[in-house]
Amino acid sequence: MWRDAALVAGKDLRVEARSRVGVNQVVPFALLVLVVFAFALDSDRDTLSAVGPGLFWVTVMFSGLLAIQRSFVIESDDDARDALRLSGLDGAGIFLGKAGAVAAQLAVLEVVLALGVVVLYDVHLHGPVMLLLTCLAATVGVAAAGTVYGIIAAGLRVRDTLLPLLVLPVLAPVLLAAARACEAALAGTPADGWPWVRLLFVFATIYVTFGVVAFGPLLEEA
Amino acid sequence: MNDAGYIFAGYFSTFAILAGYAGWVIRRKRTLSRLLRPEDIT
Amino acid sequence: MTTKSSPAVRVLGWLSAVTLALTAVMALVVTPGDVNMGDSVRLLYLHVPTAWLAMYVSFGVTTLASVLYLWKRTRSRFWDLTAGASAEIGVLFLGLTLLIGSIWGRITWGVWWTWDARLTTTAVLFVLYLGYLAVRKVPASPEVQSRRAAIVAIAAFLDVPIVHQSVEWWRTLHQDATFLDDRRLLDPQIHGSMAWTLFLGVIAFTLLYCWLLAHRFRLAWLEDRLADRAMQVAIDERRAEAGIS
Repeated sequence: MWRDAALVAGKDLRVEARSRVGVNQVVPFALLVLVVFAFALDSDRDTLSAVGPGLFWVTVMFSGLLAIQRSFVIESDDDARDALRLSGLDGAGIFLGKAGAVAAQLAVLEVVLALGVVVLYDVHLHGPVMLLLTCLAATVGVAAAGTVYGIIAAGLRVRDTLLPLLVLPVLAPVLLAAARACEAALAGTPADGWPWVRLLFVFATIYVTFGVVAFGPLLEEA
Repeated sequence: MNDAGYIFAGYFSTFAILAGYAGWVIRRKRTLSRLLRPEDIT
Repeated sequence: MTTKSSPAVRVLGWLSAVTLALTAVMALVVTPGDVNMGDSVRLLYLHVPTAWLAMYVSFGVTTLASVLYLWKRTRSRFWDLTAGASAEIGVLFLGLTLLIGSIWGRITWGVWWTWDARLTTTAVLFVLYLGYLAVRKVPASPEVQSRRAAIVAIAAFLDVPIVHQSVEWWRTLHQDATFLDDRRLLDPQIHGSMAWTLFLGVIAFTLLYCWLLAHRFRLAWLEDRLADRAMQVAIDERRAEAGIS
């Protein structure tokens, strides 16, 4: 299973690295969103640094949706899905691989965005341990839940509109928890943040487990 | 009764929506039964 | 199954109509206003039953039916159709819950919406199950569609406790000014007739749910048969064209 996962993740990341869609489009899109938020809210630095964590995670969600969509577009183009299905790879392995690749891309995106938030919104990074754990759990959660829904929406004509409708409500608690945890960390009151971090880990565990169990049947005949 | 307008509006819209939904289901059911031959509906 | 609804279903329909009418009369005429809430309490006789039926009964049935569909030994189209029918009614009831709740909020708090824990959970739940219904509408072969829908239903259900927990904390950790003390307002000194009316409302809406479910299931089943028949007709035509009989 782990070997299969590594194979699939490696393949996805290689495809992404070569197509450069992520670098050329998704990352600029994410930074653009940060700028647009600044236009929409206020150029006032206090406002922006106060809402920074929330905006950061909203941006991660939206860019994450793009990454998830990309992850399945590369399968439905040229009917690579059928090849994947016939490859004899373990369903759970494919799930972990695809989710892992999405998580890796999200992690890179988060680093860039964090820089963007620090520079553009004048946010000072306090409580690095909590920030890192929050990012870790939230990223895994988003990637796992997104991948489960990604395969459901993949290859459908209505894919582009169905995926956000399915994923965003499911990710609502992640958005809430991650934003609150980051706020707590940045405000220097980590005690407020730990329950949220725990919740994020619970979410990630549930959806990773669910994906491992459900992905095989979903891939089989979708 | 205070706020009678709001309260009646609430009751009226609830029952109207429920009746509308029930009516839609039943009408559509009738239409579909007519499209199917008796031997299909067993 | 026949085209006409069975006598049992018809009795159910009449019973729910009568109890609903009774509830409305009790709620609007007979019961007194609440000591704290005044007349706005009359809206709760609709609000509480719809919320209860939507969240616990309808979505509970959807989840259970989805599990039964996925479990190989009980797999049948019946459970899939039941899950879909129940979810649709649940979304309808939850929509009504939000509508009534928001009117109540307008009277009590002066605003249509607040980011109260219960409200927010309900709204997220509403959107989650709208997504489920959208997945059901996506065309695919019947088996693929059913399995996909069942998995989405279970994934949505798994999310419910997490949403609830997160929203609960969100509101308690960020409590600026309490609009209302939930416990005091929702557990007031209930007048005898008020408790009975609420109880009657729950029964009325439960009967209505069962009646709607019977009809909605039947409709889904007819749609299914119609699709089957269309397929059969198409196959027959192709065979006739090819001269096979």
